[in-house]
Amino acid sequence: MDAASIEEINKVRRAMGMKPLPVPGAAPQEAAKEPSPDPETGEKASTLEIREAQGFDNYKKAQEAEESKRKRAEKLAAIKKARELAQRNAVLQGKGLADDDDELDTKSWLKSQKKRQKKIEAEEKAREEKEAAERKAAEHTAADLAGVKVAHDMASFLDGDDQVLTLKDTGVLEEEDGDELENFELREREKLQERLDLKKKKPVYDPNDIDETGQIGILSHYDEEIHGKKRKAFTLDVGGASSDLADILAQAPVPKRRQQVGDLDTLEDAPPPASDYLDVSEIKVKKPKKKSKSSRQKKDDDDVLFPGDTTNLDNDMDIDGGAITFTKKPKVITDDFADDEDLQASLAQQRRDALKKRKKTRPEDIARQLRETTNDPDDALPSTEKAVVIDEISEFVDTLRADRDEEEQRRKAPKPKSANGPEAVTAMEDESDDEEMADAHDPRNEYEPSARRATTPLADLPLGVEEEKTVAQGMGATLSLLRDRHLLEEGQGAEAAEKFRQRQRFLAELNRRMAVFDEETRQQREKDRESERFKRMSTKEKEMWQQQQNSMREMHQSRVIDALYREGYKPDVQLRYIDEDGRSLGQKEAFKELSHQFHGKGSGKGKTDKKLKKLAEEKRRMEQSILDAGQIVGLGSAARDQGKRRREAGVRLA
Amino acid sequence: MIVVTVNDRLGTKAQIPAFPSDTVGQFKIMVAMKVGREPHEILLKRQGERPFKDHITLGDYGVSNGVQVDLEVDTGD
Repeated sequence: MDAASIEEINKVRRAMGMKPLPVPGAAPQEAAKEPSPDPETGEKASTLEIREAQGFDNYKKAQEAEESKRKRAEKLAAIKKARELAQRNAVLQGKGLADDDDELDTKSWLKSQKKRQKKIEAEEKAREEKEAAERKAAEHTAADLAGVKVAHDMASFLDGDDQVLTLKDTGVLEEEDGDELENFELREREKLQERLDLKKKKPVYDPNDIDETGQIGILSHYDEEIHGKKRKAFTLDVGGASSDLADILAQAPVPKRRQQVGDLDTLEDAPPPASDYLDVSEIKVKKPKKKSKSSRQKKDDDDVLFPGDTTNLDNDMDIDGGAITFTKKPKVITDDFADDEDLQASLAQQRRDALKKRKKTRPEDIARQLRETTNDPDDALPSTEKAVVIDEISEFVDTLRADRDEEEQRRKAPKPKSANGPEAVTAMEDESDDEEMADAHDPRNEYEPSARRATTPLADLPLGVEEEKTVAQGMGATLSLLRDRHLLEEGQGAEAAEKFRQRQRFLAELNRRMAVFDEETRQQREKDRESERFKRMSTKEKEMWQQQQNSMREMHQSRVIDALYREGYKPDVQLRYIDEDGRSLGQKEAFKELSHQFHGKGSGKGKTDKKLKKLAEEKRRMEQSILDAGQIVGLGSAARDQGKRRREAGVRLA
Repeated sequence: MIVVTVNDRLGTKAQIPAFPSDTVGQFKIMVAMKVGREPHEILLKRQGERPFKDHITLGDYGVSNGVQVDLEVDTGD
């Protein structure tokens, strides 16, 4: 920006009434001048410069304020520090352990110690005395408890345990004649007992529960509800113990009504109790005395009791007055007993017999019995030879036996027929008879060895199922393995071998013939070459000759071989189709394969999948173990086939 | 004093001295003198910002020494 252009601009600015730009060369006369405050308001015009200047001032002020604040804080910190230092010094004033100010010699120190000891002892004594006095004042003797009620039965304290009694809770307004002591635990126990008793549903009237004192009120079981519960309580006397206590201790426990225990076992070992009806032979009826009979007669008479009866009874009546009923009653009762006298007597007799029998078992007998019982286990133990050992084989044999039994039972029914049959049939046709006989004997022949096997010692029998052969064991093992799995056809082995042998023989014969022909040809040629005639022939003639000879020889040979073929050659034609995987195909499969090849397209996805699945299945079958139960091959397959035939699912193990 | 560069993005640049306290309207008059166009046809703006308003000072827009301002034609819209 040169000065000229600026001045140019300044002209324009001045024309617009704007502040002229400062010209670089000219002195800055106006720029330094501060704008004077507005004369009307007395305020400075708020221009940018002023504001900026103010901003700087403000910043400066703020800085100063901060500075002063910092200074004040420093001053405060210094003061605080000084005060703390002073405080620390103040604490450290006084005497330390190490600085000993007043010099004490040992003697005076000891003296002072003694004095101190005495003082401590005196203090101790004074304190003890004081405590003792206090204790004496506060002591609570048994005498203090005299006249206090204890709200428990005396008997509950007879256990001898220490019981802690506390003052019983009473209502504030209740008028009670003094404090009562109770044991909380005992109270709880009593409550529980009461509740249990209520639960028991006792019968209202218990004939066994007769009070010995005989004070039994009518409907005494309502007493508690009417008068409230009778609480058992006693009062402590001066000695701290109740006077009742001695009584209770002296008193024997209330004898409980003992139940009569009748031992019915006495009859247990006796011979069967005699029936209610006596044997005729045993009946030994006492002849009733005439007197008793007469008395009964009399009793019958007595029962009537006519007022106007005139017997000696009348005298009694006269004597006894109104006590007739009294005298009569016992009489009647005795008569009732007399009625059963026979029965009673016989029963008593029986009991006595039983007792006698019982008594007869003397100690020696018991000892013998005991010995026998102890000996028994010994007898039982060592007989291991007789013990049955069950293993797979025996199980199997058992099943066989069971079958045989069934078989026999089945045979038994038609047996009579067959037994009758043979003679009748023999006359007609011998052969059929023989067969039948063989059949009839067959099961027995079959089963007898098995039965015998069952009795043979176990060690001789191979246990378990035979182990499966593996390919590693050799050719024979491999063959048997394949045969077991039905992977290898067997049966036409001999036939195939014969065929093979024949073919080999034929081939050998053919070879031999050919060899012979060759030899003959060679010899003949030699001979021809030796002959004069051949020597004389020209080359062309020789060739002709040899050709002729050769053709003749060949004709002969072919004739011979033709004959040989006709008699010995039996071609074995097998059309075998093998697919790309090396599997041999069946007729249908082969046709399908050929058809596909011919038409240039195979079967669809579904069919292909099915076929692949089938192939995989077959492969799996070949690899499976023979012992896999429930599978397609081996024993499992046999079991399954059988199951199918029998129409039952699953494998029968037994 | 600041020197503001006015660029019309058509190959012409003009350097104009001014005070930050000048309003945009006054500054436009200076620009008009320099570029030869009527002041009301001039629109000043910083690149990518809204156009400057006439009654606001350059200082308020933050225009300081050496700042470049774009010049466009103000159509009055």
